[in-house]
Amino acid sequence: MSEREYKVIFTGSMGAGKTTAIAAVSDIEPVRTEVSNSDLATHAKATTTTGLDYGEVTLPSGQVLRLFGTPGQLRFNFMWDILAKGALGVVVLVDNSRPDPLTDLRDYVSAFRSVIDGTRAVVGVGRCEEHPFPSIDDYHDALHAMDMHVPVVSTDVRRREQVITLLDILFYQIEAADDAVAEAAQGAVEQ
Amino acid sequence: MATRIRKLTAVGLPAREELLVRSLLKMVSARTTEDWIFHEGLEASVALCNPDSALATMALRRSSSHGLLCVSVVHDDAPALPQTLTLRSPIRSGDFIDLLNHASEQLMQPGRPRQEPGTDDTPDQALAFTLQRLLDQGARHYAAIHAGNTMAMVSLGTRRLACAGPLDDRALLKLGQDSVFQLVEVDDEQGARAFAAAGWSGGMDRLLWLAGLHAHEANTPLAVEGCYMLRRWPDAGRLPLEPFHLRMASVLVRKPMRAAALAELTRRPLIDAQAFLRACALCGLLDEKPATGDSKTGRVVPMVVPRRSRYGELFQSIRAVLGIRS
Repeated sequence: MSEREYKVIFTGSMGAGKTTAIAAVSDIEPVRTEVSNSDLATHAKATTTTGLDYGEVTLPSGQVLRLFGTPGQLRFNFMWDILAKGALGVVVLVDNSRPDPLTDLRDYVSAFRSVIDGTRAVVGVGRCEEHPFPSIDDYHDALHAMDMHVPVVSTDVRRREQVITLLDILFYQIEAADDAVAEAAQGAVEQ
Repeated sequence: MATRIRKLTAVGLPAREELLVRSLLKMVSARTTEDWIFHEGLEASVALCNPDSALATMALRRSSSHGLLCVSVVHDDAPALPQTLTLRSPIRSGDFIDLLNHASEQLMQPGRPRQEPGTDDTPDQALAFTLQRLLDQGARHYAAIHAGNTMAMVSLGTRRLACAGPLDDRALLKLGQDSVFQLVEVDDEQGARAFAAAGWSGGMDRLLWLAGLHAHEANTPLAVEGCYMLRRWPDAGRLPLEPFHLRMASVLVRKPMRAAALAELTRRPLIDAQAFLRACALCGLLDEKPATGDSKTGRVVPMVVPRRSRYGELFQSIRAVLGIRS
């Protein structure tokens, strides 16, 4: 990443809405790399992302916010470390209709723990209307148990304004983390 | 004009007598000046007491502290409890109606001890506050709501509302602010049936959020004068949050503060910070924290403007491109 490029990761289980979320905010037609879904038993999608999804938001200054969606299937998790390098933060999307969404949450948050660093993430939970459990409080408690202090909100990534809200919240988290680091550094200097 | 709804309870009455009272309540509504419903528990306006029951003492204590009107239900010439009304047993419908109307007159007299805030009998207790109190108590049942022309079903376990027709934000706010309502517990089967048959269902938190945001307009008591911290972010996917609400959440989830400090830090009017706190309080998101240092003394301390993050300009630019109003 050059000084004029920034990266945000979208991660989560297959079908959680990563591709849809990136498409909702990207300036360009998102680049998608797909293969046939090898897991039709658990997810009735014809295709799934194999490498990654890519979208971008270009700013008037020429800076670019690059949006990377990780492949959802665990067999592609070797890509996660590569994608995580230099990322500002992570959007974790969870599908509440899956058999064990809290385990999904733990898996993806753990995979990107070094980027998240306790706070630089937001969790968006989909399909909450039809599947009210686990509740937002349950997700919050699960993250707390991992020493993660990350906002959790219900979300419908088919609605652009909700994806934008996820990013807005993520930016607040990143700014707060940055402030905390600066305050700690200042405190060390004063001592 | 909406009719006031009063609650009546039974303390230590024999089962047959209590059953008679419940039946009479359903039959006499046309002849009483106010509407009455049966309530289990002492959070009622009137308690029919068995003078020989040990529970009667509790009712008498509540009479002096909370204005509960106690009635001794006595057989023949048995003694009544001191300073209570009397109702002869076996209970006759005419006597029962007279008692209820007499109780209504007494309860409306000024100078009676007021019920503590937060009970269903408080005149200004809006539905939203009652729902929040039930949630605080860990209630998870279904309940039917009758408020004006609106009939709805609430599931406290899943925090959802159901209704025959859609309830937009205006209707939800009106329902949440209504202080004349019936909230009747129903069994799981009936509640589930009502939800399945409903034309519309939505989150109850939206009703609570709107009622909290607009609590000052309805002049309902919800003090937010303490020092608070958010225990988690409000659910931005379900609640109608303004961009400045997200700013407030990002601050309050990290450190406790009073409304004035929150307003100053986020550059919003005090009324906005107070409304945000009330909304969060009704949704059960606020923890009150002990005041420390100058917030305890109330001395106004100049706020330290936080250092601008190195990403400040970047995110401001991204927000502008994405159309996020600040």
